[in-house]
Amino acid sequence: MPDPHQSTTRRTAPLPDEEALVARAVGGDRSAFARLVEHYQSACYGLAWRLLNDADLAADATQDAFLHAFDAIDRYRGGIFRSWMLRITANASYDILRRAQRRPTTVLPDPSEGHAELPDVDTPSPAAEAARGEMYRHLDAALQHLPEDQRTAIVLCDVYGMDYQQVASLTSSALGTVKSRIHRGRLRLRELLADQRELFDA
Amino acid sequence: MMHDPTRHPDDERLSALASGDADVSDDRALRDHVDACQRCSAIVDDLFNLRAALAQLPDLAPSRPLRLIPPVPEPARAGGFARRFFAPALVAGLVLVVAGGVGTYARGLGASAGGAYVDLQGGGSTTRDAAQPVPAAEGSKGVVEGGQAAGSRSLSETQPFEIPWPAVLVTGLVLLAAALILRFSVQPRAG
Repeated sequence: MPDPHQSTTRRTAPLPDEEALVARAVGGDRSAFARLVEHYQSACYGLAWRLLNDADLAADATQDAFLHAFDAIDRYRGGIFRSWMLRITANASYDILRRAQRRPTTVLPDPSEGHAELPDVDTPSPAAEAARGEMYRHLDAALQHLPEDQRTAIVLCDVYGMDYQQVASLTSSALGTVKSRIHRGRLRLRELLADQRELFDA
Repeated sequence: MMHDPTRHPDDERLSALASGDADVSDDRALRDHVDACQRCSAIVDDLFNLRAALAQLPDLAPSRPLRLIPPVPEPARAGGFARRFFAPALVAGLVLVVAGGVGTYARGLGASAGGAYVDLQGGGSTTRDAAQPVPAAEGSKGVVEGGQAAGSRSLSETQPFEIPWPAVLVTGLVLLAAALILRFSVQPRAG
């Protein structure tokens, strides 16, 4: 299984026939729904993993999200399907987070630790891709070092492109609180990654 | 308005500027300061690059295989009643058929045996005579004879309280038939 941090495709692109698949899924076509979910499962799992900082819990949240999405697909009202799935995944992750009362780790984890389930790091790859993979590992490790509320806001906003209002709605927080968490989280990330600044210079 | 290069804005406002938030992007004094201040411009640049890197974080393959859709529930629903009904109805039907059959057969034997007994008690009289009510005004002899007759009558009076074995037999057969018809006529939907 390839290491996604070595992948040149950073995000799952929409399917060419996505609109038709979504229409069929909304109409009750199970195979169309399965095709969509299979396509976006890595996107959903990535979000859950970054929110929960635990591979098993992330898999549980992703699984829950698939079941919730299946139940809700007949009420899907258009928009970007990936965003819809990510919102459901964020909700499922947040539910698990609340249930487990998990707190972020207090020790900065090994940058490769979170991706232990993704082997093949020894696979030869071009230097640029290796550097990018290294940057992703450092970023994910630093994210897991943030306080939970800041990490959640940063992941939803800066990693998965939700706007402040969506994050506020998902986390049941005030808009100003969300903005503050995001800004403080970014500044904390900057401090954590100060030694790797060259990796992030465009 | 001239900005004061020695007074730095709050870092959270620099973060807002890095993400292009409308409420700070229009702040001319803030932008002037950042343009002139090495410290603040470095922060804004770092945060801008950080956001760009965060937006590139790749999707991750799930740590274990996930079920994409829930299992098909319809086999449990379609024909569920037939399956639930089949076993108890089959057992109950068989019990009723056996009990009803044996009861009906035994009652037939009992009826013929009871007729012979009445004949013996009546001293050659018919079964109909033994079952006939005795008038109450027949005197003491009549009372004695009536007592004998009442004894015979009490045997025949138990008949209405007997279990109607033929009906039990028929009910059992109906139950069996219903169970078998339901079981083999309702097919689960294909998954």
